[in-house]
Amino acid sequence: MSKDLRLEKILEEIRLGNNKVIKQVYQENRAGFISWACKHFQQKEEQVNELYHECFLVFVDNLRKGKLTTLSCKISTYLAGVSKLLRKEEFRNKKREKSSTKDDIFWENNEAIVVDTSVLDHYENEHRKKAVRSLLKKISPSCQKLLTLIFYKNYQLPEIVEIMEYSDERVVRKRKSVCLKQLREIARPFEDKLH
Amino acid sequence: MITEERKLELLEKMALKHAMSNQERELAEQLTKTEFREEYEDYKMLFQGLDGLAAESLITDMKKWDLEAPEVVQNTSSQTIRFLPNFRFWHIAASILLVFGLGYSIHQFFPSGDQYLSDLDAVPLYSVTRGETSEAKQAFVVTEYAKGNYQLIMQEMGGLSLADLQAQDAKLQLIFSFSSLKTGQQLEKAEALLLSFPEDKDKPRLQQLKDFQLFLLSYQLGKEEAMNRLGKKILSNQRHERYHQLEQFYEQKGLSYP
Repeated sequence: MSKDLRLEKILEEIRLGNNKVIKQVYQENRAGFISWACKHFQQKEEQVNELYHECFLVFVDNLRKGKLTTLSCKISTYLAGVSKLLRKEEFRNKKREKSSTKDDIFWENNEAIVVDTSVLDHYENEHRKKAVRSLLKKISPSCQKLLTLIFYKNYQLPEIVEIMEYSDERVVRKRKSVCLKQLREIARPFEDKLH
Repeated sequence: MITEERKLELLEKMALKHAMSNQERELAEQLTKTEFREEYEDYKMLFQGLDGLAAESLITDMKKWDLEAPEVVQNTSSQTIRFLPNFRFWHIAASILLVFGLGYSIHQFFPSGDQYLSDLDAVPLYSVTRGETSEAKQAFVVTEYAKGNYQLIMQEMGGLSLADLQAQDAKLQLIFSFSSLKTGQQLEKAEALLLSFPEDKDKPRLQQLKDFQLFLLSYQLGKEEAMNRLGKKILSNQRHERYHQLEQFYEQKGLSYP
């Protein structure tokens, strides 16, 4: 199998939520990323490890949401690029202009790469996560299970049909819609906590 | 007429910024602008909360996976699977062998193994006018330099102390350091010599040559900081006599510019 095909297959598996492949890709790239980032950002392993988590999360999230479909570079290069972008955003937030020319060149050369980092905002919003977590406990167990499979585990419709023992994928869609409505109904009195 | 499932699917894609076709985006935007506006705002919060929880779940997994992997920068031996019972002994023995092996290889092949240095041409430095060395000795060094007999030059000048070398004509100093680079002999002495090289603003060419040679010596001696500083200095001046040679150096070595 050619390298390109192999990479395409890996990306597809991650998009489909294949946890085994996600873990493998995570572990394959971790050591290289950490050694590189420790040097590049002049930081300790602990800090850089956290950055790796964020970059990998952004990578998986962009695949899942269809924003990243193909890669013209290696996964490690993409992760390094995301880390530079995150650092740049961090500096911008702190109103400090600090980005190297090399980083700019990377993004110029990879214009086709779209990186959406909004998942990090959702991840960091503890207040909202806490509210949704408690709301989930209030809906029916079957809805809890279904929404967990869809949102947490990123399972695809055929797998959900099998696990939930539904007749077909249309039922999954229908049930998802019903469960979300249930969640919204329960959430209404607590709207202010979510916003 | 849009079904409830389709509507929720579009609201989800909109709230979580999924990739969408133009048609889908148009439809989703229409939805959020009509009577479904309020519904969208409610679901947006829920979807984003669920997205945050999903992210948290993945990060938790990553933290678990980290525990399975050894530390990267500072390797702890506790998690290493040892295939030899007396691992430490073999570890030390292998390290010693490696050090000797490398040392021997360097001794044997360096600098002839360095293609860049082997190919580097000598800069014409043929008219020596000052210095404490006798005219005959100066003439010998200059002639051998022109012929590329750097070993002979090192035999002739290698016995001189640093102070003696510093008392030589500036061009002879450059000949000595170039020969040192070519043969890989007395690199530290050559570096010390160039660090005290006479500053003469009237001779910019010699100053530029000195910087270039000092750059190469820093590289040979593994002094990255000094090398980068000099590299930066040379590359900042496109009219520098050794500008192109330096570019060539970075290309050949596959190093990024400082």
